[in-house]
Amino acid sequence: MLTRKQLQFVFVVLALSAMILAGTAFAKQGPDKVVIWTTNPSETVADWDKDPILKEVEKATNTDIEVVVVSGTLTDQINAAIASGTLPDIIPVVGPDQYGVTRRWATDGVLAAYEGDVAAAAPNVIKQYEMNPTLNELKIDGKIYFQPVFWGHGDYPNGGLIHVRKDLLDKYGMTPPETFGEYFNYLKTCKDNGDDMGVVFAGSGGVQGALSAFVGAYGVPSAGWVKANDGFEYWALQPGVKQGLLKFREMIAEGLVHPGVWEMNDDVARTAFVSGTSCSAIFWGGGHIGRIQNDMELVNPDFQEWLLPALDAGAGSRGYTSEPMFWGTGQLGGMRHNNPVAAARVINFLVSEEGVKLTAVGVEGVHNTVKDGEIVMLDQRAKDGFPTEAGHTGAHPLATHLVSWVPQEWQNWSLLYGKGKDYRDWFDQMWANQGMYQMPTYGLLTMSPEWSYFQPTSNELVAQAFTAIVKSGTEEEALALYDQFVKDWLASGGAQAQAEMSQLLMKVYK
Amino acid sequence: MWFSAVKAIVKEREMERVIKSGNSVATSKRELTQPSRRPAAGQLKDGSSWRRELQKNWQLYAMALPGILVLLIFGYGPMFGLSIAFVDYSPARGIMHSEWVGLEWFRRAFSNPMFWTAVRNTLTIKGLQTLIGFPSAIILALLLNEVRIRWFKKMVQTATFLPYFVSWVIISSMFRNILGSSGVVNQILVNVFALKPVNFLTDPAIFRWVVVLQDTWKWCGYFAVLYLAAMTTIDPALYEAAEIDGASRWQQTWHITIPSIKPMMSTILIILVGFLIDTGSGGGGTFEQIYTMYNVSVYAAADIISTFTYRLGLGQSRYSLATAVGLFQSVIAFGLVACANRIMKRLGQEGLF
Repeated sequence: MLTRKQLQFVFVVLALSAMILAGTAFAKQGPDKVVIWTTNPSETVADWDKDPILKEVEKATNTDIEVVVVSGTLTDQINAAIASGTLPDIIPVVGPDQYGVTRRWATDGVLAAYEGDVAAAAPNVIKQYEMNPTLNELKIDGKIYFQPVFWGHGDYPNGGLIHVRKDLLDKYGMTPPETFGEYFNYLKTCKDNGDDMGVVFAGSGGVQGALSAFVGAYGVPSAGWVKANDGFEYWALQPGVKQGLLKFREMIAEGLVHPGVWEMNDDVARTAFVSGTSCSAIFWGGGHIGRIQNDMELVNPDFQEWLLPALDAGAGSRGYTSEPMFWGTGQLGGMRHNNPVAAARVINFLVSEEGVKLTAVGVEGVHNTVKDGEIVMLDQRAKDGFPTEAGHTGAHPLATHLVSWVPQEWQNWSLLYGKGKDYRDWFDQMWANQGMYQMPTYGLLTMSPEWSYFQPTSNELVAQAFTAIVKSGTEEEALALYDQFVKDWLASGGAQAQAEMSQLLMKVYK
Repeated sequence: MWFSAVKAIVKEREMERVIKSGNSVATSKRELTQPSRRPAAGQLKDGSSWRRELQKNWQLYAMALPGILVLLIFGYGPMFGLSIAFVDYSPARGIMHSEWVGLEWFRRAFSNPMFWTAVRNTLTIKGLQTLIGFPSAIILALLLNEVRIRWFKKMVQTATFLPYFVSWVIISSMFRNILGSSGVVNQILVNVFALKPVNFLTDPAIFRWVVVLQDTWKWCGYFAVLYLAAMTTIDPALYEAAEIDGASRWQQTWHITIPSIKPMMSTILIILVGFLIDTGSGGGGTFEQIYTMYNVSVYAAADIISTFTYRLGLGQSRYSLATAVGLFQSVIAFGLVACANRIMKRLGQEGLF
């Protein structure tokens, strides 16, 4: 028999054990802490702790989310966080020009791969890879580390698209140009009529962003790698690029380009077009089409934007470069202090149909309501972090920079909200024009060790040489500069990087 | 001749200075090197002598200590980071555990054609800035020194000194508005004179001169003040004697003012020579100046070492490459300063060390 004291002891031990077990169970049921860094300034959210959308996400994922808005150079800040062991659980979008850096993070073991429990917590991310085989290029040793920050789920042209003014075409009695000859003629007519200072594009960073249609007219994409000589070669070395550059040079030599274009970035070029200073712009597409039109109407209700299908140069080819519909990738922190499974749950929810709708239009009954099967926005929406300014995607800041740039269908919904049939027809036509002729490319997302090192140098060589070529005084000079560029590119590490990339891509596209 | 008279006075003053310094000013200097009451160099190695020295002057050493600590912590401590140039640095692994690659990053930098373009541009731009900026400040100071209307002198001095306080970012915006394709100057050229616009900011040949003259404009007033300060120490008796002997203003400037500010000139020249290789923000702010103004059209003429390093090193998180290039710059800059210092001493001027 146990003595009274022994019984008391056993009782105390049992009570303590029960308390510990209960405490553990309680702790397990509590929300997981997740730290998100975002580069989105999100001025529209006054206090993240009280943000109703964030609260919905926390409720749906059983997490306690801390949103940290970071500014400055993101990769430097992430590197500092890695060095000091303070990496966030969710790292916001890092652009394609930094794929070498993100790859390094993955191979250094500071990012969490979507495998095991993490993969199980994020089936929607895995599904994205299954839906678009191009994303396999992003894998490292067969593992998924990156969540594409997307607006769509396939490949489609998006950059270097040629925009003109339909109202001016009508004024001159012209139809939308189909060839470069017709396009140059339109630009000349604009100039002769004093309606324009020339076509604009973001020239301060180089001309390559405006080449899509020009090189596409000679059968070459304006980025990535092309199949050639039983392997893959870099796009900029293809003979068609030389022809495309000469065509671009012709446009400059004929005085059809805005004189200030070499000082312009995207914003300045866009403003010049929207304000009517220029009658054409070589710019982005997608949701920009509707936003440009909306902004134009604020300047002059008669202005009408028109996106041209890729133009023909009579070389038997035409097309804008078709690229995966995302820009940059999000990543999960995989250091000891991180909780990648909880972070994966958050990402998975934000990518899901429910999450996308939540960040696009808010909570039903609070931010929107449904009338006759149509979603109607409520005033509360603007008070809870959803922006109202023109030129924005219209979605909550949690939608952008983390997992998407707002899916195109919701951008379209926002752009077409309250618009009539004519506007909707025009919008559909612009989308059709954008993808009417496409030029495929390969390996945009692939990184080999040598290419990872050489890519920044390559970008610089391309930017400097191509700008010099299109600005050169004579065609002979342009051709000589191009030949010199090819030599320099191959000699300064390009040959080695190209050989490595070719082997890698041959494996992916066998 | 008045000139020989002035020369004699200068010589006399020099003698007086030497004699005086022998007794007072330079005595302290001599004390530092061969003090009569200080133990000889050999004795200093003796611990007891050090203790005596510390006990005797502990207040002075205590006052110097914070400065020495700051120098050690912030000046010499970070030099450990230079080892990044010799490893394949990864923030995840840290400096100590990153792979040792020896001189690989130097090889990569030196084999990049754009690196040598940047070196050439750096030397050209900084060389031109020194060549034009250095004498400009002297000329401005000499002219200001001759101005007798006080308010005018003050006004010009303030106006020329003001750009020194304006950041390069602001200056860059100002010049974009003034010299841009649709800037004020081009508007005047096109609309008033019916001329073609000039691509000040996108034509490589013109852009280089914009950078050089802009730098002269910003720094001229600052250096002129230093020279003016040096001129205030010139004995007025020298000018009086010269005037009595009939020396013109120009002769007085040439034979009195300029020789008197030579030490200041040589010090500034040595510093400017050190900046020839452009050591980032320390190099007179050339990085900020060019980075905020340039674009891809003018890289061929304006991309300098620090902008190259920023774009291809730091901009791509390649800290090892950036450190290797930075180390290369520092070594060259040190060599240039040492050479300039030696040359100045050979020419009979004061050196920095």
